[in-house]
Amino acid sequence: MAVKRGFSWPGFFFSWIWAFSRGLWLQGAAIIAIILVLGLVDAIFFEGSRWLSGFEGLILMSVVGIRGNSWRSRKLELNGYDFAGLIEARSPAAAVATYSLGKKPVAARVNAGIGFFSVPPWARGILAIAELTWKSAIRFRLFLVIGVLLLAAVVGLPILIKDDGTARGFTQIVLTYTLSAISALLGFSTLWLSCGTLARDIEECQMQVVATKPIARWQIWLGKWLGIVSLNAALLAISGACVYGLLQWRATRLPAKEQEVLHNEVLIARGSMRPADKHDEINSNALVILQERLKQSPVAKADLAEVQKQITERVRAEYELVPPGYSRMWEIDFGAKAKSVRNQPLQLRVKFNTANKSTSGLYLGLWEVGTPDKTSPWRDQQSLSPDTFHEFSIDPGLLDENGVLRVTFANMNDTALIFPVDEGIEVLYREGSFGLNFIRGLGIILCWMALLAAVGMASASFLSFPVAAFLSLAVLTMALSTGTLAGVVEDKTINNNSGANENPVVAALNAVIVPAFDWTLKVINLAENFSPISALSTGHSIGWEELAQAFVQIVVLLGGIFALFGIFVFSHRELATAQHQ
Amino acid sequence: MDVETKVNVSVETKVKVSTESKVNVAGSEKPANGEIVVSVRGLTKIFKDFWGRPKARAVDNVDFDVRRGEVFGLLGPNGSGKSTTVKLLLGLLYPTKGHLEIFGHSPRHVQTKSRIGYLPEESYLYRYLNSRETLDFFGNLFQLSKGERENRAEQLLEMVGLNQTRTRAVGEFSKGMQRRIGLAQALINDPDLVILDEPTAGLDPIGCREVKDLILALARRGKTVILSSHLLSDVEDVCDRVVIYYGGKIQAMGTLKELLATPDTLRITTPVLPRETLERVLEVIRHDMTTDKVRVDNPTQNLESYFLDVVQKARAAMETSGAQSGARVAEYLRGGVEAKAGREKILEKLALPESKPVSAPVATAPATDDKKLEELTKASAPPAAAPKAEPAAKPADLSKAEEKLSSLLGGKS
Repeated sequence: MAVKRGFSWPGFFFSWIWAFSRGLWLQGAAIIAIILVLGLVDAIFFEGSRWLSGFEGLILMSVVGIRGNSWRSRKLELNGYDFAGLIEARSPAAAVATYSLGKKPVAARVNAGIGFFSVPPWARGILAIAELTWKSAIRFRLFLVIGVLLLAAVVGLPILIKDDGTARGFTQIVLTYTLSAISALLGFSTLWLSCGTLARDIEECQMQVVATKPIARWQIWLGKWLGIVSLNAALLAISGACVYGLLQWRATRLPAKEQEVLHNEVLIARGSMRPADKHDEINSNALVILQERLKQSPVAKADLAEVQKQITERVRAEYELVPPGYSRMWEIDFGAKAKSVRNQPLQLRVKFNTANKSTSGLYLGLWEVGTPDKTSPWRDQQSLSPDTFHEFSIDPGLLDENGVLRVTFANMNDTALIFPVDEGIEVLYREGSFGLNFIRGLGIILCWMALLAAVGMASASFLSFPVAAFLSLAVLTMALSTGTLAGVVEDKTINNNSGANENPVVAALNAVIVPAFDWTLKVINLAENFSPISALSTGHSIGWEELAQAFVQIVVLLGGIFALFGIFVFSHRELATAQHQ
Repeated sequence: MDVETKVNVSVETKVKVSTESKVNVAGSEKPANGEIVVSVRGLTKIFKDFWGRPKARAVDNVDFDVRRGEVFGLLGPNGSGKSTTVKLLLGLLYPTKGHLEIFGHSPRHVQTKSRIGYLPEESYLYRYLNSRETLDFFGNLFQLSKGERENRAEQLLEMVGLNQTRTRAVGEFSKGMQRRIGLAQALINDPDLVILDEPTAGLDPIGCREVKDLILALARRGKTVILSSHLLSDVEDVCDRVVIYYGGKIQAMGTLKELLATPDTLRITTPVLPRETLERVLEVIRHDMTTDKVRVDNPTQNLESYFLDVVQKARAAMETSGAQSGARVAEYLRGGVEAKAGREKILEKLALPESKPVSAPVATAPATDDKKLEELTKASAPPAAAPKAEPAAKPADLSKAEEKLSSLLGGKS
């Protein structure tokens, strides 16, 4: 009997049917059971998400494709066959014929096993090291302590801090605070653990024994990193499940109206559309004005940046300002999404600023959404406070035939209102369930943890434990305080005092520091540009593509840089220098 | 055994041979031109400070080869460069100058490491793992299958006497028990080259003896063993060849026979002779030399042999909660040869050819061959005719070796 070695396409396409046809009863039954369980979970928790079901199906099919032939080999061996070896042939029948003619097979062992997964040889060392990291975390009670702290944060925070009974206040405490606390706790413990797991193994010389075994240093490094990331994944899953459960349970105690708001605006995944980005237009207009101004009256070189900044602000104001008694219209093009959104109720999310405070603190405005000639517009008069976000539902069917939604605001106050181009107007629409959105949000947090683990291990690759921990915390602090960096980059100088830029020393420092800060900021922003906690708290959808982008930017790109550095240093390091005699 | 009644006659002559039929514990002569397992040329290691300034020259221009099947000893006082050499061989330190190869590859070649077993000078194992988990973890790094790992772990734990403590964390072990589990992990892959750094440190005499017997058993199977130690008896009992370090340099190198032989002295061991016979023998000897150079006394058993004998008897009467004496060499380390069942130690059986007990070498000196005695008394037998003198067969008289090596080391050992 010959069995093909490698991928089984029939197994991939026909999974359990193929398994039964080959007499693999156990595997076939297991595949059916897995399909049923996953289907049930998807239906209950993820509103039968087709994306999720498709993804799970693809993984299951791949597993059957990869492992199918190994299952067959294993079954034959259990039935009394002996493994003879491998023969190169076009088909199993040809292989049997070749073997019958006396050709000696290669004595390479097929990785036959009954399980769903097989581990390639190069990964076995990595997994052994990862498992060791788990054992260390559990035996030293680290897992327990962090787990208890996380649960204390999840359960304790909502008890200590009472919400105001509104959906928004409830969300702020049960979701925003707890997820922030989880991220902070896990972040610090990840840095600590990643520094300790490598540095202490080197200092206490266990690494000397491990490194003399046939495992490459990069495998040791990756194994430890994988161990820490999987530990984080488990802790995040446990605490995330608690947050989710707590959120659902405590939501039932809110007033009925607030519950409705919660389910429509928070416990949901909403896509977001904004008016077309005007930044390029603003900058190019500002540049034209600046050039005209320079033709009329030259400006000192040192003041040029400041003049350009002022002109840009003025041009921007033209795009944001709604003077008293005037109205402004924004056009939001839904494009390809128009078809699925057209008949949905939408939410308008707005924010404005004002220079003058009114006595009541509220500003009256008339809102009109839709195209008066083509659709029956939705109108409403609202008194809103400035500097904060407001959301209100608008009727479905307001998009025109091109998928464009027009939002008009009439300022009925005696002061001008400013709607920022970045966040002034936003239209939200239902995109998916909260459960899946929540998982994607946790996925982005896990990406951050993976990066922190890489940072900690990179520093532990060449430093002692305390120094590595100190350096890692310094890097984290710098990453969290990007305001200073951004200020320097925006001002294009490290010294804002007038005339300071004419000082040659300051100018020289600027020439070096400003680009360096700019570069650092860009690198940090690769990780900081994602805000899953804020998105979850406001019911914004976190798409799969966003999660994939976070994985690529945070884990692959940034984490990869630290990992390459750490592995290089660790691979070239003498591990026994502390022990020489 | 009645062997203690024998008399040891020490005669100082210019004869360069010994009539003692010493047991060749390694089973056969090591081929002088066997496969080179370890090759070291001009090896130098200089430790530097933070600024790159030389701080210590730990190993200085060292050359040696180790051949397949050899038990090779690195001997020297503390800080002489033994451990640094071991760590250079393992790729844990990098040479400042010189070249070294293990099985024809760099010490950092990953696949080559699958042929090496290493016992560090202290227990550098994970304290939170128990014995089984420790062996399973290291077995996993050697890509052993689960079944193979379990099988070998079982045999090794039995071999090192830890099969009763397999679920206790290594951190709770005594130093001796940690050495035992360390030794087990070094052998999990059935290595071709075993590097042992102070293998008997912290072990009780029984453990020391078992480790030495194990080394000899490994050598019998063609395994190469590099033993680093400052304990002279360890080295003398098992090593075929030694290098003696001092100040990072090799001070002496060669077989123990080359280093320890006293060519101008002859010893004849016989059963107790009637007084008249002895008188006649001495008369013959006195004919050729002055009486003050001839000594007649009863040989004494060394302390190790005596201790082992006492414990052997005590063990039969009571149990212990600590490490037990190792039972038998793991089957896979014996190359799959299943020894016959029995309570006697397989280690001892393997260490000796043809079931001659190695534990009482002094007491089991064979009967004197008349022909050989006749040849000896001619006082001019060529050295080539001498039977191979193997150190493990003669642990009884270590004092001379200690003196000799101590003098070589300048009294620093």
